[in-house]
Amino acid sequence: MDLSDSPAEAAFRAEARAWLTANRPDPPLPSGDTATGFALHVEWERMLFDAGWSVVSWPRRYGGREASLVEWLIFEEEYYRAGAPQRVTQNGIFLLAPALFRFGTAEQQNRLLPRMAAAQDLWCQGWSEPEAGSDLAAIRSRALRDERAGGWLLSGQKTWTTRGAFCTHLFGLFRTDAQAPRHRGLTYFLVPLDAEGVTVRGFGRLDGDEGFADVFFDDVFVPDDAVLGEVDQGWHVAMATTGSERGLTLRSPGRFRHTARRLVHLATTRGDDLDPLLADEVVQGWMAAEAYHLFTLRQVTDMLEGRDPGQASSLNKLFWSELDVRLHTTALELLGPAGELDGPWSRGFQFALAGPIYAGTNEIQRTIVAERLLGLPRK
Amino acid sequence: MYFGYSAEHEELRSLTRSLLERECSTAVVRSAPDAPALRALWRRLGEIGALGVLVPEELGGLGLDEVGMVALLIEAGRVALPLPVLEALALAGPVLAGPVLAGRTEHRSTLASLLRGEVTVAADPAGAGCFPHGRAAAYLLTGGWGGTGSIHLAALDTGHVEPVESVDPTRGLVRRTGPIGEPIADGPEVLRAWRRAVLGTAAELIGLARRMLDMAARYVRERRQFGVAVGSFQAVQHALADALVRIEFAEPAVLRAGHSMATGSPDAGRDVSMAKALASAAASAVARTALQCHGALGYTVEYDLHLFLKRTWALAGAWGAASWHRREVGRALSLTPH
Repeated sequence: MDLSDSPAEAAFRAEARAWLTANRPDPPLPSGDTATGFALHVEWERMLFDAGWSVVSWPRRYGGREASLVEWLIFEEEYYRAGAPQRVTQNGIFLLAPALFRFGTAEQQNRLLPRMAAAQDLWCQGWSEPEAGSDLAAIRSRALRDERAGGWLLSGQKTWTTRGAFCTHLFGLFRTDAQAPRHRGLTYFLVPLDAEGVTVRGFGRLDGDEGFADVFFDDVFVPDDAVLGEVDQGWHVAMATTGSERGLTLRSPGRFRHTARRLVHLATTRGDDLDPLLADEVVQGWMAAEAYHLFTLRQVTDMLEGRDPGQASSLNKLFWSELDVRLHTTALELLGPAGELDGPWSRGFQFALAGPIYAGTNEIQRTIVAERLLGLPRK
Repeated sequence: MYFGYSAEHEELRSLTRSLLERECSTAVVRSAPDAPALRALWRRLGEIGALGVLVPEELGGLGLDEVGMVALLIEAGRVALPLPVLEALALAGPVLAGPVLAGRTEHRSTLASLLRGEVTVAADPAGAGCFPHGRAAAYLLTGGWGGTGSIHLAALDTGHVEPVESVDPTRGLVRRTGPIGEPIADGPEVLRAWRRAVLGTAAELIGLARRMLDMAARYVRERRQFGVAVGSFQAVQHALADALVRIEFAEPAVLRAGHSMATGSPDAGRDVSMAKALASAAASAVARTALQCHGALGYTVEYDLHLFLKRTWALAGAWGAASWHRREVGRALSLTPH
């Protein structure tokens, strides 16, 4: 067992810390889920890219620096420690990119990855539909073959699409075989949102930001090279990378440890005597953030030894989402009447409440844990 | 970065596991504290070196660190081993081998017979006069609660010892009046001993929790009601999923605390307290879920689950309950006054 940085990792950490400390936006940017805030975030993303920090673990030819898994974790830790902005490019670089690396053709990879890394193409996820939330396989949006034109005609509606009103591209699932059983007959498409027939309508999330969108497709033509993986294999392509959204890749421990540090700071700098009951809540939140960090170190060790974490990402998701709510709830208790004010903690609280819902609700995750990890029978 | 057992730790773990699976069935647990089979098992543990994990090799131990102790005690918890292995590993071994005693030959021979599995040592950290494993032990270590004061050694044939009923009858709880004996450790040795015992208890609780969850998952796969396996009901599935989350996010904290002690980290006290707080809470919660998922069968003494429940209840509070250790973590974070 060795929890220290190797000399190379320590150098990597120092370089990342120095750059982030010197370049992070100060004061912090406004929310990236508003039109003006999003534009500022994209500027930041391009700065990250120019300095080689936007996609540290990717191959150099796509704009990365071929960082190891441990170095990636170090970068994430330093990123959040520096208080750097949320990543508005995250759905592209953390959700689509793993699928592109695994299922994309060389042409798709060369065409899409560098622009994604440089925040020139900004991707949103087109999974949910009005009738398909947790029951993702119930999606109705369809793609009809247009043999003559060599492509597909998309129609239907996606919804609750995060930052859909500001992004330039969407990756999503569409039904290509209406006769096949639900999970078969779906295809994974890569769609530019400026294509003819696409209509995007932004709408307010719980916190009031226009972070959601409906995306309507009205016979939108996309060529054959807009298909990722095989036709009718979209479920497989999408599910192969859900671990990224639920687990380590998108929810790096740095984020929650930073929130826990802020919480301890809030509790110890309020000036009056800290209520022992609240002190205990802070301790529990801090320990949970540490526990998440340690759990992920173990996962990384497993991955380095070639073991696939598989469905364990559902454990991550259950834990980090409840942890995030807990940390913010405790902060609001500490703030008392001031917790009502619009500010980082009240905003963060509302944002945290989405965690147990998105990326597969926690009820879905518990069922996955029970059936796949504990081997309980399916209903 | 490597967060896992070394080859040596892994070897010790798997050797211990196969021995305990073979020789510590629930029938053996039920026979505690007085059955002769337990004395044989103690000697077997001595033969594989399991009683001297932290004792230097030149004194007959394995010369491993606290991570090795954690690996072994998780396995002890898994079978609800009804023997004072924690006391041997965390306290008696290191203390008898420690600096205060250097050159004291009579203690070296006590250490040697402990490592060979010939004698057991009980511990009464709070000096309450009431402690487990006192029925069969030859020696008693008194004091050191919270890592302060000194630890005394007494032979248990001095004074008066009588059995006390425990919620867990396999613990061999006794009450004793008699001399506390001579001081054998003080200062940093006492602090290290306390932390090792807290950490070791946390490790046992992780093993217990894993076992209880295994039993519950197996049971709900087989038990049928309303024409289906009860494990297909979402209410049952979700309760057991939460139980797994509890364990999976407590165990790494226990391992890390072992690493912090082994490397002499300045955060070792905080990390050990965090480990015990999380392990106590996790095992207690898993115990409740396991009982609930077993229904009335679990609420009997004929079925084995109660052995693990009762050990969990005893260990959750031993060496500082979860709230005691959360306060320690709070102190380390400057949230609670010192």
